Amino acid sequence: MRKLISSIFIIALSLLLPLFHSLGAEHRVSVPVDNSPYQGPENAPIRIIKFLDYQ
Amino acid sequence: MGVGPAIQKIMREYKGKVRLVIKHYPYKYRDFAFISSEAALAAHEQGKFWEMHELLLKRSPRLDRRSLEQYATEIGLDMQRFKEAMDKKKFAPLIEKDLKLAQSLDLYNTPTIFINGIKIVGNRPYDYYKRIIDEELRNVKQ
Repeated sequence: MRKLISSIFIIALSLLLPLFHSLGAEHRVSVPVDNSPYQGPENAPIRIIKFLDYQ
Repeated sequence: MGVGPAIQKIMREYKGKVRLVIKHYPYKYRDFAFISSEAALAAHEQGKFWEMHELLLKRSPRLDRRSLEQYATEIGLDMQRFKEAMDKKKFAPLIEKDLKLAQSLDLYNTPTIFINGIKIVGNRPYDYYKRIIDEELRNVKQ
């Protein structure tokens, strides 16, 4: 009986682990740049897009 | 450069590795927010976006039409072109496009920054951005 319970526990854990992993993953969005003002090289590995309000 | 001291430092320290893009998200209940963005883009048309951008941030909230024209004069814009762009609301459609984009991204606060698509709301200290950027650069190298 103990063996059965531990087997069920291991199977359940292996099924839930990918779910936990995806919940913890960083959420990224794609923001189109279009013709907005910019500085820095086009092929820069880091792209910072800033939404601002002057007032 | 007028993008906040932390981002300014990032642009200095990571020169050549970062591209900074400005999107406009003028708050609709502020009288001069929209025309300030229009003025920035009118300056952009004449190759002086960053000069105007810096002045707008420094002199805010003095952003009425008369003040904007004064700033345009200060940075040496062609005033006839500038006034015409403002009068005809030449860049309003671009700002409206940015606003629609902001809404589609569920943005409610400014500034909001995306670093390689990772959303960060509000101003943060330099070290906060640095940590994300270093991690991103490590991922690029791998």
